[in-house]
Amino acid sequence: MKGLRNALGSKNISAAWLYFYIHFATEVICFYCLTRQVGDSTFMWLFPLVYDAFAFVPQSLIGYLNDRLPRLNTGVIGLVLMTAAALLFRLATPGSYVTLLILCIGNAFTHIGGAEVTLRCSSGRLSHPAVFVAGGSFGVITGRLLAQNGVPYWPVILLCLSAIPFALLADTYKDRSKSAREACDAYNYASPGISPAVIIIAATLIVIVRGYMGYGIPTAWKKTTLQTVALYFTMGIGKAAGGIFADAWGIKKTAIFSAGAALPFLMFGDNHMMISLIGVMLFSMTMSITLALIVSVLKGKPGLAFGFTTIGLFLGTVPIFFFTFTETVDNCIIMAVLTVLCLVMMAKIIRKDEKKNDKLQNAH
Amino acid sequence: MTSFRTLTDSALLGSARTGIIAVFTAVILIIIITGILAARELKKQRMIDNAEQSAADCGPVPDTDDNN
Repeated sequence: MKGLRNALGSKNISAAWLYFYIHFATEVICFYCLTRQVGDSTFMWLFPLVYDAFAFVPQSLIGYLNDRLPRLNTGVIGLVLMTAAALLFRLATPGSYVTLLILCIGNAFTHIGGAEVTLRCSSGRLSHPAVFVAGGSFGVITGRLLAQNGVPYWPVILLCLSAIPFALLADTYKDRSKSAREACDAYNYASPGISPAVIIIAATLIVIVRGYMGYGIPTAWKKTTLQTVALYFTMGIGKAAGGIFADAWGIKKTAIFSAGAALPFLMFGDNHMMISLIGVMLFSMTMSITLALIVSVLKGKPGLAFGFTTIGLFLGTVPIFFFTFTETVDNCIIMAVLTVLCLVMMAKIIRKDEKKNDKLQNAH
Repeated sequence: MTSFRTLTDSALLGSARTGIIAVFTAVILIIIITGILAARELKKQRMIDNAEQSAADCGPVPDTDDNN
C-alpha cells in the first residue's frame, strides 16, 4: 500500500493528469472526425489505415525534433492542428485525405508533448506516462459515441480548444523539471547485459504483438453500446494500473504477471463479459512498461523512444486491415504463442531489480 | 479459416491502390530514418559512457596548482 501511495502521491503527477485530459480531448476529436467520415462504408477502411499510419509512425521524427528543440510546445501545436482539421472537415475543404493528414500530424504532436512532459516530470516512475496514455482509451469511445449520435462539430472543437490551457500549464511543469537527459537517467529498467539495440527491437516487438492482440481479442459478448464503453474504460484503467503497480511492486513482476495472467481470461472470455474484461485490464497493463524499457536505453531522447512504441503499435495493427482469423480456436492459438513469445522476451530484457521502487521513494 | 483482403481486391483498384503503396513507402522510409537516428544516438551514448568509464578508472585528478 505504501508503494501504491508513493506512485500516486508524487507532486509532479499533476502534469500527468493534465495530459490525461489533453490525451482524452485528442482522441475525442480524432475519433469523432474519423467516425463522421467513415460511417458504415466498407470501402472506407482505407481511411483508418491512413490515419493509423500518419498518426502513429511520424511520432518518432516529431519526437526527435522535440528532443532537439525542447522549448517547442508540441502539445499546443498538436491541438491547434487538430482543431484546424476538424474545421476543414466541417467545411469539406480542401479534400478529406489532406485534412486527415493535418489531423494525424496534430495527433502525433500532442502525443509527443504528453510523452515528453510526463517522462521528464516522472523521476523514473511509470505511473506518470501510464496515467497520460490511459486518457486515450476514454477519448476513443467518447469520440465514436459523439459522432454516432449526431453531435455537431462545434462542441467537439470547443473540447479540443479547452485542452490548450492544460497544455500550457503542463509546459510549466516541464520547465521546472530536470533536463531530458537527467530525467531519463532515472529510468534503469533494461537488463544491463543486453545490447541497447536488442532491447529496443525486443520492446518494439512486444508492442507489435500487443497491438495485434488488442484487435484480435475474442469479444463475442460485446453487443451493446454500454458493453463497448465498458471495454474501452477497462482498457484505460488497465493502462494506468500497469504503471502504478510497476512502481509499487516492481516492473518485472508486473510485466510477467499481467501478460501471463491475461491469457486465460482473454481466451475463455469470448462469451463472458466479466472474465473478458479482467483479461483486457491485465493485458493493457504492459503499455507503459515497454516505453520505460526503450527510454532506459535511449536516454535523453524521450520523444524518439516514444516514437518506437507508436511504430510498434502501427505495425501491430496493419495485419488487421488485410486478414482476420474467423475461427476462435485459431485466434486463441495465435494469442497463446504470441504471449509466450512476449513473456520470454520480457523475462530476458527487464532488469532484475525489484528494489527499484525503494530507490524511487528515497529519491523523492 | 482466415479471410484475406489483398491489393488486388476490386475495392482497391486505381488510385486507391497507388495511395496505399505510397502510404507504405512513406512508413518504411520513416522507420528507416528512425532506425538511423536511434543508431546514431546509441553510438553517441556509448562514447559518453566510455569517456565516463575512462575518467572513473583514472581516479581523482591531482591538484597541480598545489605547490606544497
